[in-house]
Amino acid sequence: MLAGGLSSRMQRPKAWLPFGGQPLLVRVVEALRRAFEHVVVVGAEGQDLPFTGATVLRDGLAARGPLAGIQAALIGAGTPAVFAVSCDAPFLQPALARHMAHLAEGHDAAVPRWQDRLHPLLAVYSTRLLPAVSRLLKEDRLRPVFLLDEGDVRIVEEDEILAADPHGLSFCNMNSPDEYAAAVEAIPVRVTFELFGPPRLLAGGSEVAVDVPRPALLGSALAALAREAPALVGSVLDVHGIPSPAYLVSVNGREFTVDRGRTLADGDRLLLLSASAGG
Amino acid sequence: MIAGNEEGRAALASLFEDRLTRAGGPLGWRSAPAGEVPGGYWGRLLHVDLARRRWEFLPLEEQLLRRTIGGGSLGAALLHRWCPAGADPLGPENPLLLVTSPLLGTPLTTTAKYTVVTKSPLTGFITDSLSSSFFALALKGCGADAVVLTGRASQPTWLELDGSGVRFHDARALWGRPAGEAARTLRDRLGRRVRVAAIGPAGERLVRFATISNDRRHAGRGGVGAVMGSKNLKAVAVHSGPVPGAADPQALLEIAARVRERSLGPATLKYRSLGTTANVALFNRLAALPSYNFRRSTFDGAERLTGETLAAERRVKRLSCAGCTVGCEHVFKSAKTGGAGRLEYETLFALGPLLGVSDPDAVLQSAQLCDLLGLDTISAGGTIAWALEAEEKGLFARAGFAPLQARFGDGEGVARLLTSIAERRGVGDLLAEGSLRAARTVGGGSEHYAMQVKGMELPGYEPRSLQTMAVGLAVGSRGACHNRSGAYEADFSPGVDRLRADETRGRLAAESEDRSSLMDSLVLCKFLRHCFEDVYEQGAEMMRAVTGWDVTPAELRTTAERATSLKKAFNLREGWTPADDTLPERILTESLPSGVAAGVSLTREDLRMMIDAYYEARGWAKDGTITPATRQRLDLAGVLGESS
Ligand code: SF4
Repeated sequence: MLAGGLSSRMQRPKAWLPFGGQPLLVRVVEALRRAFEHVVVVGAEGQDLPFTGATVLRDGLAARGPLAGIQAALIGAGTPAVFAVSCDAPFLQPALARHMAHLAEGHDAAVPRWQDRLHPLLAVYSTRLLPAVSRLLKEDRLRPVFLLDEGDVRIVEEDEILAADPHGLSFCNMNSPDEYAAAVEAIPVRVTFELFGPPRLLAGGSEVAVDVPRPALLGSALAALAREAPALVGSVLDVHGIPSPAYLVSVNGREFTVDRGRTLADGDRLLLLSASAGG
Repeated sequence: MIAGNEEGRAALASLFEDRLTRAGGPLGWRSAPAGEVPGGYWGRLLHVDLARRRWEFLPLEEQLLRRTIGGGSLGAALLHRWCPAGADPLGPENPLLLVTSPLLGTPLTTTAKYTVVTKSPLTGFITDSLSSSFFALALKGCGADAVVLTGRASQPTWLELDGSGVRFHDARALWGRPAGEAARTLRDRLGRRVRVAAIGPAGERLVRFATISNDRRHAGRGGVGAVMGSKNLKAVAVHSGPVPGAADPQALLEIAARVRERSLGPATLKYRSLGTTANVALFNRLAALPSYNFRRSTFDGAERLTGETLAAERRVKRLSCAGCTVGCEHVFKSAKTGGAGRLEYETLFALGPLLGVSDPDAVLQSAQLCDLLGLDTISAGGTIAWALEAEEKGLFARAGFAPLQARFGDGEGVARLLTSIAERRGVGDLLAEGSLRAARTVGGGSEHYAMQVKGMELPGYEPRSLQTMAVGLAVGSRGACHNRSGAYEADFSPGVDRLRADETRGRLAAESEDRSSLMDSLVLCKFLRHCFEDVYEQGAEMMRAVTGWDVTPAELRTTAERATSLKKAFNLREGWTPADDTLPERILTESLPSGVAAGVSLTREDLRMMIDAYYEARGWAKDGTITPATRQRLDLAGVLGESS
């Protein structure tokens, strides 16, 4: 999680931008936590960061931009590879992050190509690239995209992206107050599935939060659940998130429904339960 | 009629041989039955008079069988015929009926159940308790569709049944021993093909919620074990034998294969993966998990008792009833004793949250005690919950009783009380009477929180947050029961607001009761219910293959409806009044304090309105009696053996 740097156009630190009731950094770290066991935040020396609970690394080279941040992460994270993302990706989809990590296996990097542009700040890098990173920094070639010429890079194409992030939400970023305002306007609805019985056992956890683009429909939320908790696909949901007739959903523990066209509100709790509720 | 005693056995055996041959030998269901008796039935009952040590086979009319099918419905008709009006439930004249059903003994999954029917010592009305077991399979081979036990043996007795009749044995050496131990002794003596149903110490001491046990399972509710105890009958041992054949074995095999496949699919995954223990987490979230004697409908300690937690931390194995492909029994080990025991939702609820107990080891210990002593866990928990609250309010002391020395959350105290109930020792003697009778004795307004209907303690379904189920619990013929009414299914359905009352609930409650009645007559385990698109359609198909009758789904709908009216007719004869169809005071006067149902209440007027709608859906009069038109439509007089 690359939190360092000032946004000149934004006029204020992005990490602190209020977003859906929390600082942007906290929101993105939460999304990363849903994808990975180990999350580190890379900030500039002395930079004031909101508390996320994640380890904070200081790159000491703030003025040199994200490449220095990637270097700090590759050295400090203690894993063979890192998924690097900047904190202005408020709608980062954990399923995409996981998918990319998977596709990066055996390569030096994996970078998505979305709408004909490569996105090196939503990419996976292996520690094998460390010497190259150091060299680029030394040569003052600071744009992360230069790193893509340095090894075996797996380009993740649009159809592969859509499988994990069907609306491309992860690529919505904000570089100006206008873009920020538009993003706040477009905040997807965040709903949380509570899993009971077999779904809980299959998913290995009791809650899964998902982002659903507006207008937020139960069907889209279930589709997001199928991506977020693939263990449910098969016996509980199909790949499109259509539940087996043996399951139903209760919205906030009150209303029971199987209507995929039902609209949802931000913060809704969706109980996924066996239709044989009771004896 | 084939009358018999010890001397008549030889003559009878030869006659019986003939029938066995016709039934097709040891795998009887494979062959079509011959003669006038429909497939799946013997066409007779076995009457055993314990006082006179005599027995006889009596014919059962085909029309009675067709109109009731079997199980609880046939049992209701037989109880009406065999139980004199106003009989003392614990007196010799109250018959104890062990009833089979046509699907029992076929290769259809989950059909190995028998039904115990009698006038309940807990409610004074009919009770019908189902139990799955190898005992049920053996019973089907005893040459009769039902066994009617009457009279009282002069000394502790056990019965030995085989296809040719009955032997009476002295049970003094077994008296006082747990049912499982008695069963083991008898099987050691008679061989492994013998199956046993027996009572434990609670049944012997006439605890009004004592069970009859068989192969780890119990016919649990309504005090059937006390009725058996009142007859001085410790056990019934049955030699496994051939069962009647099916009319169309090929069709039956095909249906059985289909149902079996479905029984292994997503519709039963919940039962296979967690069993009904899965309800704890969900009900708590839905504020439908009664705790602290129904003062709350959520429980702070629920997480430790959820099926999900128990499975992760202490599940040992999964078992299934006889002849079941689902296997919903989950066995958990105690971290304290290392022992293991079965837990399902009702037991977890009644011995856990209802008593404020969150320690899984304590719940396991109480559950094992109930098994050993032969106590219905729901009524035991319900009665103790009432007692703990009465003690909190100082009512025991005021009524001159010694202090209870137990409180909510105190697992050890609960275990002590369970033992004292089964032994009828000290305050246990009072609690052995059930919560309603005990509350009447203690007084001081404690009836207000005796959480029972018609004397039967409520199961773990909070009526205020499941308001369709509220109707089902209020009108149930045997009292508050989640097995006879599956109305909670409606509460968990799209389009129903479970936290509010409305008139549609009467019809929904009646429909769910009918579906349950059908499954309890055929008999099929209700955990299969989501394996059928239409249980009437598929039930009719099964009945055609087994019996050879041209049964239609419409006929089964009428049969299911008839079952409820038959039970009602018995209760009416035994003094039922509209005041009996209600819910405990607490439910109708206090609102729920917590969870998603915080602030929700159910008024007396709303309950009345829904019950009126239920009576109307049943074709009953406004006062809950059965109208002459409904009596006629359902041919109650014919089925009950009354002249119309
Ligand atoms: S599903 Fe469970 S209760 Fe039903 S027959 Fe099978 S093991 Fe017994």
